[in-house]
Amino acid sequence: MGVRVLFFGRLKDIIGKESIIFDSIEDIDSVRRNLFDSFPGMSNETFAVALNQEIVNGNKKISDGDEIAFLPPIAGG
Amino acid sequence: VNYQKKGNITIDKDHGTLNIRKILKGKYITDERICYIQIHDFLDNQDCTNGSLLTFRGIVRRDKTKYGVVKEIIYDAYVEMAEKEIQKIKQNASKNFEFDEIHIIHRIGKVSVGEVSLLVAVLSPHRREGIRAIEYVIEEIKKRVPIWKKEIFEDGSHYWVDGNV
Repeated sequence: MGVRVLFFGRLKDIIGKESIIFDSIEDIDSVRRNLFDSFPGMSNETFAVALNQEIVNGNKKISDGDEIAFLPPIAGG
Repeated sequence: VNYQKKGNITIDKDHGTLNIRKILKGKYITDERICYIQIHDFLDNQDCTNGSLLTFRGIVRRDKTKYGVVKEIIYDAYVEMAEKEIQKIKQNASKNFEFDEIHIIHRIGKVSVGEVSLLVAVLSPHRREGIRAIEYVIEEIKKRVPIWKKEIFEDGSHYWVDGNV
């Protein structure tokens, strides 16, 4: 099943796609490190992280089937 | 304006179909055009206990920015989370303000200048509570609901709008 990581707004342009699947990954910090290594532009961006559609602060363990989302500052309306 | 009556819902045929069923089923995000409708026709005020009906329509503005003149906005959203966040905002509004009904719909995808991107309608017994509720809901949507906008300018270039951290 793996872990699906979603990108929104300007982050989609930086990553070049809407989502990435990790076969297995331990925690949110690992996802973050992996992205910073693969997409250096990410390290200049401001974003929040959601785990299964809830904003999380700090690091969190990830289980198979979880959904992670990287959210740039919100600008709806 | 050419109105068509469908049950208790009036649809403005000139502006396409607002999927009103999505609102009534608790869906708040749509990629369909939000039309001008006679809102009082679908809000339930049959016993006339509500003395105030407020509607807010956020419209895409032909903004002259330092990057260009806005032609359209493309709204991106984390739809599943946005639906949940709007539901929470609605529940908080119900706890804090006295109103009978509130309806919220946010459009995503490509929205041209002059078209409606956000519709909020509040039916309440008194105007003050309705005004407070509608302001609360609009501000919370802008703060909390995961939606982003990319301005497309007349020369075809674009810019992601800086949002709230």
